[in-house]
Amino acid sequence: MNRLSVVLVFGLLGSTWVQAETIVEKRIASTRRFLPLKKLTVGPDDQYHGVVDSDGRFLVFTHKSDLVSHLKVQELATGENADLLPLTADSQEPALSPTGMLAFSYYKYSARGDICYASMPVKIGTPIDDSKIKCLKRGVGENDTERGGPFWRSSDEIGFVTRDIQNKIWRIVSQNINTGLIHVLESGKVWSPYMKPAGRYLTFEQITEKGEATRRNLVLEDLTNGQKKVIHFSLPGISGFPTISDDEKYLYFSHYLNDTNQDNVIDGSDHAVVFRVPVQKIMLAAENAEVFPEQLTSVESSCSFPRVRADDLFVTCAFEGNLDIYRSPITGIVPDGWSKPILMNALQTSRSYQDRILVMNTLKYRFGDESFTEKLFNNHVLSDDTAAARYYLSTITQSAPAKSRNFYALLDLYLRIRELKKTQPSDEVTRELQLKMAGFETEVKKISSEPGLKNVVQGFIHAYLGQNKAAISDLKRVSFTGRKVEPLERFLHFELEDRVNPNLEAYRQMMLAPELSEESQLYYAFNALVFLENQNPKPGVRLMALKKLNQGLSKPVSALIASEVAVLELIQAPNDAEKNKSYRVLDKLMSESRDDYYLRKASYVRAILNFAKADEFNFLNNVATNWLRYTKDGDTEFIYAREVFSNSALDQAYDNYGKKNFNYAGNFFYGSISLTDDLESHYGYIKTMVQKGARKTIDDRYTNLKQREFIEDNMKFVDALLVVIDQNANEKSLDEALKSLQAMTQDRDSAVRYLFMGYCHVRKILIHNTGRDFDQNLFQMAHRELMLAYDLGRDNERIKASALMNLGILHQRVDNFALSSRFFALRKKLQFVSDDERAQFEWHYAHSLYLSRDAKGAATELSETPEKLMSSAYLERQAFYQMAGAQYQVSAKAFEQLLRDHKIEGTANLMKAQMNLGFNQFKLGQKQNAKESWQKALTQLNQMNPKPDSTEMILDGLLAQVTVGAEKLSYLNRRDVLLRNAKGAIAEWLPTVIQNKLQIAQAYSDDKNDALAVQSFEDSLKLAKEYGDTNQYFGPVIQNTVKDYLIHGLKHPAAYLSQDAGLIKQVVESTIHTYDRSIYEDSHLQLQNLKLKLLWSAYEHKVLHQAGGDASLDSILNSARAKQVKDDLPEEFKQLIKLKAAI
Amino acid sequence: MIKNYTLAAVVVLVSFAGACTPKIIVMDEQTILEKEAAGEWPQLENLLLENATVQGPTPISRTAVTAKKARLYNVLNGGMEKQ
Repeated sequence: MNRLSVVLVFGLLGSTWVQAETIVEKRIASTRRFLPLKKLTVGPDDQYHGVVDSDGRFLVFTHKSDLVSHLKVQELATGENADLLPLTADSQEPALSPTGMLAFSYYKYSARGDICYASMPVKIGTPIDDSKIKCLKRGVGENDTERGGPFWRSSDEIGFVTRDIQNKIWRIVSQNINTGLIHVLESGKVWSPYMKPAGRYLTFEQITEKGEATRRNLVLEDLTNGQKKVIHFSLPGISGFPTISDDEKYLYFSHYLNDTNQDNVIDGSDHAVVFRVPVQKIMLAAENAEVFPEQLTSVESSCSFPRVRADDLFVTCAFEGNLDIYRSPITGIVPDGWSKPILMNALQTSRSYQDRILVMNTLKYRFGDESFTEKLFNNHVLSDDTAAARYYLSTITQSAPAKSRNFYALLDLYLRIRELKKTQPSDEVTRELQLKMAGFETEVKKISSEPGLKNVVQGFIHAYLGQNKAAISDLKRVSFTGRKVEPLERFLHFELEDRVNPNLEAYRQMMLAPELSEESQLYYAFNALVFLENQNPKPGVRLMALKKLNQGLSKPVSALIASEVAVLELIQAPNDAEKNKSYRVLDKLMSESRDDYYLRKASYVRAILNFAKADEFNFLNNVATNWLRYTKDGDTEFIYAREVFSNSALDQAYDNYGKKNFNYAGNFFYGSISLTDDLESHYGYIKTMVQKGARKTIDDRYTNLKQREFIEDNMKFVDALLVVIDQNANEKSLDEALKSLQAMTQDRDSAVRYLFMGYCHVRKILIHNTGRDFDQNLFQMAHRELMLAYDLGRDNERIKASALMNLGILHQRVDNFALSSRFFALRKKLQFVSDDERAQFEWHYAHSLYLSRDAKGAATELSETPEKLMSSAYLERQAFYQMAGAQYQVSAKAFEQLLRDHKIEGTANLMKAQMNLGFNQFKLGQKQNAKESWQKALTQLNQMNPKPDSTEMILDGLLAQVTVGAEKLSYLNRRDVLLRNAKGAIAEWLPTVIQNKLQIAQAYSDDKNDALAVQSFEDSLKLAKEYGDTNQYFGPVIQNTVKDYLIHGLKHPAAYLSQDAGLIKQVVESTIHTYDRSIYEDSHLQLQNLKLKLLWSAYEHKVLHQAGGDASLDSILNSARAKQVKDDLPEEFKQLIKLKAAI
Repeated sequence: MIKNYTLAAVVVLVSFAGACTPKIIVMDEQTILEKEAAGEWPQLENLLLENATVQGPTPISRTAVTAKKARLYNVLNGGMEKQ
């Protein structure tokens, strides 16, 4: 594990034993924040169910790619991973024993799964040999039972679940691996068992049924006395995947707490959260009593399947695109040293309702603070999580005074109505929806008090039925004056109004609402500013509305509006002096609000977003600096302020880099290095300094950074980059860089590191560019590293753009053109830094598209090159792609233009342009123009030295298509000579020669030169025999040759009188024999054979004067084969009838 | 669509002018057509290939707001507790 991770994972806030190395690491370690989950596996596939061996050395997990799952192993210290089991069968659900034995579910011998086991290898690299894998034997009648969920009950007993689907018998059993003896531990609807090897407790999931009601619970069983506890948690949702800590003091489990997929059911499809609860708390709880567990992860990270080893918790999470395995302290992501004030601070600075819920649950668990039930309910309502909200509402209602019952009843009705609405796939009002809403309406009417909230709930019913006018009338009937208003009533009133009649006045009413907290008033003021911006983004228009809005508001809300005014005036200001004047106003407001957290945050966020849209990066940076400056180190807001500042510094740096202000860019990158020591800032700084010709300064600056302990391990990255830059990316420098990068520990999992490593490997492949060969090993490494860069850099557009470009080039180089095109397509969605970069990209993307058989797409893509960069090469290539994509008209026009403007350079390119122009003309039916173009191309070809014979053959072939008689024959005969000299250089040489020879024969025949035609047919027949004798009688080459020969003979029998019939007889019989014996019962093939039989029979009769005639032809057409063809291909069979008539 | 051309082109799979023992490589129609009929711009192509591979992040000035960044700027509603 790298050093920074050690700090992040174990470095609890305020701990004195933190051992950070650099200044930056120390700063990060001392920041109050949720402890980040440490990612152990990396994509692009799913990786889950991680377990760690007792030494903490290996992580074993299930890897799933394209629906195939199998076990892999990863060395935790290095990140190196390999297949653990052979890929010949699916495997999953690993379980490790303290003695180094691995148990798992294996699907090699049974689709229902076996429980197998093997010794863990001493080192990783080679999968465990199949011969070393043993599987538990099945008893009589157990062949159809499913087996899964293995765990080690002791060092020689494996526990697992068996499911007899037919008889609906589920059991948890254990089986001795030596004796085969089976012991039943549990029966019923039970699954997901776990126990520590030789431990005291067994835990599992269980479904209990009472009448029609079913309940899903975790169960904990004390095996020493048989005491069994069905666990009831005081949480909304359901639990699963229980496990027990090494010391058996805690039960860990996954819990589906919220309805994250908004389907109104909290189930396994929702985001999971990991909890833990002391075993003693469960065992001592009264029957059916609820226990409250400790929340360890946030809903947002969706973590499940916990496994504990010593002080580490290993979980599978799904928040970064794929399932991956992460590590966290066993106490979870909220540092266990946090006091109540710190937790309250974290509650205030939360960035999501889910984070708030995590902190509230922590406060409730650690400090027994029960006051959070209502807050939890509210936050579930605010995040529109109706299922969980209803759970808390029922708890609140039970203890609520009688006078509040109707209020809560109406809230419950609202939640049910909302639930119903969420189940509708669209805004369509169905009959079923109308009926159900009518039922709710009756329930609302029954409630005798709370007229205000009644109208609001009634309004929601109208709104969801598409009756907005009625909903607006409902809203108008609500008066907030002269009575006590509950915040939730006000909230729902606004939600409804915002849905049916969104308007600025509604926001203003919320900003003024006396029963709302300052935080809420500011929230609505903030959203009013967003609403205004969405209505009209022009600062001038917004300013007028804001001045009108800012009347009669509370001081903090008014200050927020005033801040927005100052920001917009700054954006509108015509010069620097005016801008600075506006900034001073803003700065004063920021200074005054420094102690008001909610106001400060709301005004900073608005200022930053406004400045970012207006490209006012200087002022944006000032605001970010203030945010950081006015946030104290110990504040949980500090980590966010720091991130805002860091983002701002990088944005500033890149903005200046883009404008070629390298001095400023360098300063901002350097500032970011001092704050973050991250590889992106190092890369940006070095590149900027090189751009401005200050290579020497880089060395001086880094010497200084090292002396001040601002950099240590990341110096390896700096060294790697510098050696590649200094030596112009030659192979030696790439090897040296890779060595340095591989030795990195601190930012080993940085996307920037993987991107650079991938680059080095791609460059090595390009350096060794030997035709179509490439080093498979280098390719695999480059692909993996670049995919990792893409995966890890998911939130960084700049990294993603580079990774995708490199992946596109890599796959183009190894002929994976379709995949290359896909990477380029993804790259295209991101921005380009310059027209040059765009033009360069278009060239490569178009090339991959063309090579993946999308020539038309390639032509279109190339046309997106910035016009000023459409050089001759681009225009020529575009015309070529158009021709290949059958866009002959535009292609011909483009080639004509290029030739007319003399834009084509070099004889070879001129010749090709002329040839392509001719091809387009030929396709457009302009044979004479095509002939002239091709003749010009031939002239240019003859000027070339050396002259490519291949092109001459092509031109001869093309010209033969637009000429007749002696001229045509001259091209074909020259092609024949060239072809014969090319023996050994062309794949499929003989068929090509035969084809050309047949064309010659046909040309002589057309020219009425029967003697030479016969001679050429004889020549092609000899070649056909030569080809056929290499087991090639099957196929169109011989078929065509023989048929052409026979047809010519039938047309000109006199010319064949003197020919020896032996050769044609031999070839025909061999061909017919081959087809007759064919194992392919294909009627299309037999149709061709029947044609040949008919022609041969006619030839024998008419040319060779042998017996036969019509009777013989009839017998062919009445054969069993012919009948089969007639049945299968009745239309095609008519061709045989016509042929018979013709011959 | 381009069959006639490629039929003409398909005969040559590698240039064999002046080669002693040419190596035969089976190529698809696109590759052959490109080899025989597309213009050759070696200097430009080398330069484009040289520049196409990137060592580090692309210096895009303005990037889209990602979910991670947007979360940073999230402003939440306050509590709605009963009075």
